[in-house]
Order: sequence, then structure tokens, then C-alpha cells
Amino acid sequence: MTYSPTHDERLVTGGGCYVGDIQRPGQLHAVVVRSPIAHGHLRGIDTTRSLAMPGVRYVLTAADLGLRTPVVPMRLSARTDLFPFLQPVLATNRVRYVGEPVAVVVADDQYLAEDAAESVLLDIEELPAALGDIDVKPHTLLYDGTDSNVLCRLSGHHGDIKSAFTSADFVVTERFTTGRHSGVPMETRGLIAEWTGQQLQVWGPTKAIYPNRALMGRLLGLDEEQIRFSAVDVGGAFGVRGEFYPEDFLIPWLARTLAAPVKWIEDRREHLMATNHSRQQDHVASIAVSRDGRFLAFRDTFSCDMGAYVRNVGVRVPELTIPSLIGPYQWPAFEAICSCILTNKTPTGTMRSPGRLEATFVRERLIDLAARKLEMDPIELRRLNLLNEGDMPFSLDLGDDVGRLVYDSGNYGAVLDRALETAGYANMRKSSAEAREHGDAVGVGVALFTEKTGVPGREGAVVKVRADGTVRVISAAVNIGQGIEMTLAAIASDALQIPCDRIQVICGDTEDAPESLGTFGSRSTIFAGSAVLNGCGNLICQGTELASPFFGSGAVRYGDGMFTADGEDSMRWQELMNRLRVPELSAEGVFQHSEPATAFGVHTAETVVDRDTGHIEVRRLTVGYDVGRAIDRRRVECQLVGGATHALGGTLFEEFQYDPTGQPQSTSFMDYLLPTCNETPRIEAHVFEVATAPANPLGVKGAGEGGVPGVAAAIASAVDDALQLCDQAVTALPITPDRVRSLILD
Amino acid sequence: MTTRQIDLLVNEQTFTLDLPPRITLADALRDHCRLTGTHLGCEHGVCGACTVLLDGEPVRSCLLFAIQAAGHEVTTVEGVGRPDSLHPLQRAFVNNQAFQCGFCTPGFLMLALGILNEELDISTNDLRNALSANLCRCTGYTAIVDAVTGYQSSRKDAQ
Repeated sequence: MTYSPTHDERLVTGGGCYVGDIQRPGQLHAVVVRSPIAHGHLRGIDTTRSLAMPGVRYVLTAADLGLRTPVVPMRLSARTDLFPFLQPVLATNRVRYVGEPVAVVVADDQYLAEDAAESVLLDIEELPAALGDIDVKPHTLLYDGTDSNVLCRLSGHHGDIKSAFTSADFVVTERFTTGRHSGVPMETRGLIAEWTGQQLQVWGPTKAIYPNRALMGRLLGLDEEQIRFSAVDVGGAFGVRGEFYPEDFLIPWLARTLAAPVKWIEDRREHLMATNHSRQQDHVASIAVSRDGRFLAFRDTFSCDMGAYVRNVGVRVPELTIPSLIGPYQWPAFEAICSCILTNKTPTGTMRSPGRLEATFVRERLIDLAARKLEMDPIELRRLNLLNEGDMPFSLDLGDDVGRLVYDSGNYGAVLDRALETAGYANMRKSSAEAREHGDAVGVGVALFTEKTGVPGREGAVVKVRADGTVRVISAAVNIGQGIEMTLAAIASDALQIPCDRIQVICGDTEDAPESLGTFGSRSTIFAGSAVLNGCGNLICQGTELASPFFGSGAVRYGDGMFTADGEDSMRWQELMNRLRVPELSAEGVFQHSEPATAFGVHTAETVVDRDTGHIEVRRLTVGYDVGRAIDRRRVECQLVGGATHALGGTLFEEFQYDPTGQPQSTSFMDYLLPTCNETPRIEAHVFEVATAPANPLGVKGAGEGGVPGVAAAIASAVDDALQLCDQAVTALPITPDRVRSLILD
Repeated sequence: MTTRQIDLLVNEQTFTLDLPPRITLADALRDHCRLTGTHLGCEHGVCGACTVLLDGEPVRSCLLFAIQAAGHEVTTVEGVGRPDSLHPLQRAFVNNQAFQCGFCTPGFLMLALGILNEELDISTNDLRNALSANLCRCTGYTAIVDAVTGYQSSRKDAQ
């Protein structure tokens, strides 16, 4: 009997197959030459020296791509006003950020390619860098023909904001900033492309494999059917891997032109300056409340630092930030205006819980400050204004730019109670107060959030039973480390009543997989899971119909993995296929829905602050999350813990910094600090199954991003509490020791 | 391009390779020995995904030249256990769900084995400190620490 290792056994024995592990016969290696200057006129590229170096096969520049250098279009937006700001696949006459691709060197091996890349000479006339001050007239514009670096403005509004603020008993206003950081998976990006003369095979694309394949085809002048994306193991995506980048055009183009497989693996320094950044926002927000603690209005004017170009996701982050400011509360009036600012920095995109860490930080911090002013308990103030079960489904039209906010189901008050109880919140408050009496700076903070899950679309799955009785499930969902294929196996196993170990799930390969929008926005359990469930149902129907003629007069049913009728012997799938003389039976399942499923969660944090050094120890971090229904509880917990750890990094340590000339200062893990196990507490994830999702047959809501949103607000709140701040507050991320010291000294 | 012939002893197997002197041990293992379980996360010596054992001690293979490993014993994750016969530490990782994407996993396994080979009785605090040498982006570390301390206990019990 041959042994077939499971996913787990492969990864734990070094048997994973990541794109960097693949070697294609005759493969060449590509290295991208990137601009070392943040802003300048690209006067010329001299490739003569590099072309003469050993092993070099080709040096690609924009000049080789024809009169019109292709740009990377948007996947998620049709906004024509953004077209002039899309990124060309290689710089033509201007460079706009350090790290921008300018040329690609292809050589026989990686080391030779890197040698040659260093010898490509760039003639750049340097311009001053614009780094994001929108109040000061910028001394240089990124794009000719514009009169400012404001890319566009977006707004969301509801109700009568003016009268709400005039009639309020109290108004609290504050400025908040969130630092530039990103997903930063442990595996950098990479691609291998191979052209057979008829078909382009690519390893490495992920996230939205069908839309990406269509786009690649369009840009290369190929039919989609000529392109195959083959599945690989993925070392984390977190939203930033799998968007369409310039390299997704350049590497396949080179493979086709050179008629040889081309392999490109990004190194970490490149990754930190070339893969999407995110999160950098600057808010001035106000909350209007009545003296008895009713929220009257929320107003926010903010800016998003977009970087140098508009990427594949367009202005999705600000579009998502605006409705995320609402959270789980009732706001009679609301207004948020965002300016998207172009800067000479790495372009930005979505990352895990996009816009939501930022929005939750701003809103929850402001509510804390309002509680201070009103001298009300911060939980009681929140509870008073929570949307409740009777308000569901909740719908709020925020205007044309961001559309309608919809919450499908939720019982926020009940989940809040359970989350606080499970976290031992009352005890945390008590013990931290006692610690403070002894002179230690210990504090507790809380944050509430709603999380948009299940980005809408249409999804298909194929379920096959084979002659040996095993089942094959085919989905275009992608395994990015979250183990989706095991969740799909569990769903199929439950539906077909066939043990999990007889079920094989194939994910993320375009060869047989049906349509899918992709794996992002916490959607795969909802969409791929429901499609698989529906596929199993269709397969059972089909099987029952085909089995009927072999039974007598009794009605045929399906149960325990078999077809049965009263008083007759049951029939297994194997026997049915034997009788029908077919090698397999297969059915498709589809799930389609146009609205997200909204989850709700509560973060609590306990911090210990060292007053002398400003060091913050996060002693406890909990997340209570209502996922509606959990297919695999343990897996949901893992996602929540992972998400919270991710957010911990952005809250305390991670930041992409730039010097005044636009030179990135965070180009290795020695500067861009990720939390290690010493900085990460034993994060407690409590999964609740309270408000199921009415719109999908599984009743599930997504969880991949659910650990993230409230972490920064809860920790900031805990630091305020630890230091017993009255007039000051933590308002900036990351909460560095320097910033803590400033708060203490002021 | 000058090359040198070296013998690399990896997982008790000798690989006779013709390599340029500047090739790193990580690249030699991955591209020449075709042992791709050792991963490259940064090539700066910070993340530890490339950790292997050199004469039983954990080292960053991205910071060593392959020729420096000649005459020494290299152990990679492939030498620890196989899918049909997992090493108890690997089994502990599976049982504790101590990995998600799996990219940092081989590095953590080798680091843990190296630490415990040197000092089986290491305190949990010191063990955590030692494990903080490696980065993980998926799990939040608790499951990893639990897997290693669980394995440590069972090894101590067996003594």
C-alpha cells in the first residue's frame, strides 16, 4: 500500500513545495533592478556592462516592451480617474519610489544574475521627494499635469452631522496616526514561468488565481485557457501576496520571449520595499455625545498615504476604512472624508483586515476619551450605544463612494458579556488596580469591533467519487497556510458521511478548478465551503437517482455513505459505479451571494509599562469572536491567535520609515521588527457561535482576519490605564518606548 | 567562474559537489543537494528559517559558506524524520498545531533539537529566550513553545 502523506506530515518533515523549491529543466534566473532613488527623471539605462557579464542571457528594460509600456490595471475598481496613476511594469522616464522596477536581468544562475544587476547603470536626475504633508504645498508633484499630490477624495455620510455637533453636550476631538506597515509573510514573493510554445505554466500566483490569470492573459495577449497556474505551498499571504504586481507580467513575458523557464524569487530586502505597504493613515476625529452617554455623531477627516502608484486594489483601503469606522454602534449622524495622498514611497494595498485595524483604533480610542470626559465606565458607554439583535439585519447607506453598509446578523450585547466573562475582565480590572496601588504601571483595555467577512461573489466546486470509494474535491480556493483544504475535507466528509482520510482536496490549481473570486477577505470557508456543500448535495441527488433502478419498489435514501431502501441490502458508491461501469461520478456545486457576513468581536489587553524605559509588556491579550458557526473550532482559534499576533506587531514594533530624501530605513528584519515569542503573550482566543450567517448554507462567518481589528485600540487603552493618563492618551501607532516616555514626561 | 570540489556530509549522506566558493550553505543544500526543507526567509541571519545543525549545533545556513561546512556534519529537517515515521518532536508539532503555512517550521525544529541536544534540562524561560531567535508570522508562537516543552518533558521522562 503506498503511503500518502497528509498536508501536516509534509510540512513538518520539510516536504513542502514552495515556489522557491521548484527547479524546471533549463531554468534561468531573473533579478529585478530597482530604483535606488525615491524620485527622479530616468534619463537612461546602460546595460552594456551587465550584458557582457558571465552567464547573462538578457536584460529587459521598458524600451523592449514596445511604444506603450503596459501598466498594471486595477482588479477591484473601475474608477477611470485613477488610470493615470497606475504603475507601468517597468519605469519609463520617471522613477517614483526606491524599489521601483527599472530593468530585469536574466542569467544562468541567481548569483550571476545578482552580479549583473549591480552592473546595470541608471542615469537618474534626482528630484525632491514628496513624503506626505498635505497641509504644506508640496514642493514637487509626483505626476505632471496635476496640481497637487492628492490622488482623490472619498467620503461617507449619514444623517445631519452639523446639527448633531451643535446640539451635543460634549464633543471630543483628537488626532490619531497609524504607522506604515504590512503583511510581511515569512516567504517572500516568487514566480516561475514556463512557455511550451502553446501553454504558459506559472507557479507562484495565489490569492485570486482566476482574475490574475485573466489579467495575465490580457497583458500578454494570450487566451486564459493557454495559461495554467499550478498550485504550490504558500508561506503566508496576509493580503499582500497574490495581488498582480509588475513581476507577474515581467517574468512570464521573459519566459515566453526567451523560450526558457524563468525563475524569480524576491529577497527580503526587496520584499520590504517592493511588496505592498499598508496602514499609514492620519485622522482627526470627533465624537459628539449627550450628557447621559448617547452617541450623537462621529466625524472624521483623514488621509491615507498611498505611496507612488495606484496598485491592483485601487483605493480599496480607504473605501473599507470609512464604513469600518461605524463599528457595532448606532450613530445618528456620521461623516468621514478621506484624502488619498501620493508619496514617493512603496505603493500600498490591502493587508489582513484592511482599513479595519486603523478604523477600530480611531473609533475605540475616541470612545475611551469620551468615557473619560463623561466620567463613565468605558464598557457601559459602549453597551449603551451598541446595535442590538432587534436592529438586525442592519443597513446604513453611506453615499456613493462607499455604498451601503450591511450587517446580516449579530447579538453584540450577548457576545460582549460572554467575551468579557471568558476573558476574566472584571478580575483583570481588579488585579491591575491593586498592582497600581503597589506602584506598578499595570493597565487593562478593551476594544469592540465588527469584521466584514466573505467578500461577495460566485464560487464553484467539483466533488467526485471514484471507483475505489475515495472522494476528490476540487476548489480554486488557495491554501495560503490557513489549511482551507482541511476545512473543505471536513465539510465534504460531514455531507457525504465518508471519513476524512478518504477525501482528497485539490486547491489553487486552474487545471480543473471551477470559477472563484479568490482567497482573501475571509471568504473561503463561506464560499468554497458552501460550494463544496452544494456539490456534495448534488452528487448525492445524482447518485440516488442513478441507484434507484437497482433497487426494488422502495424509496432510495442516502445515509452513512451508502444508498439504502427499506428491506433491501444497501449499496456503496463503489458498487454503484461498478454496476454503471463508470470510473467516477462527479457533480458541481455553486454558491453565490452579493453581501458580506459580518462578525463581531471583543479584544482585551493587559499591559505592564516600564516608566523608565517606556517598554510595554503585553501580559495578556484575548479575543472573543462570534463566528456564527465553526466548522473546525481549533482552526478558527489558530486564525484568531495568528491575526492578533500580526496586529501586535503593527501596534508595538513594525513601521516602514523613510528619511527626508525618501530612502527606506526599514530594509531588513533588524530595522523592521517582527514580534518574537518573547514579545508575544499566550493569546487567548474564545470562539462563540451565537449569530449564524443567514445567507450561506453552512451558517458560517469568516475568521481569517478576525483576530486583528481591536488589538491596537485595546493595547493603547491598557497603556493609558497603566499610566493613569488624564489629559494625555496614546494616539499614535506603533506605541514605541519613545512615545510612551513622551507621554510620561509631558 | 572558479569552483572547488567539496564533500558535504548531510544527514549521514555524502554529497560530492563542485561549487563556487561564495555559495552559501543554504543555497548548496537547497539547489545542489536538493534538500529544499531548509528555507530562506531573509538571508540576513535574522529570521532563522534557514536553521540547520552543524555538528549538532543550530546555525544560520544563510550566513555560512558551503565550504565552511566541509568536514563537518550537517543535519537538516529531512534527516530528522519522515512522513511515515515522524520524529517525536515533529509529532508534537502536529499535535499542537504548531504550524500553519509551514515556512518557518523546519528552522524551528532544528533550533529546538539543537537547544535540547545541548541542554535537555533547560528552563522554560531560557527555552523561550532561545526560541526567540526564530520568527513566525502565522501561529503566535504559543503552540510552538508548547510542542517543544511537551517533547522536552517526554524526553526527560524517558531518561
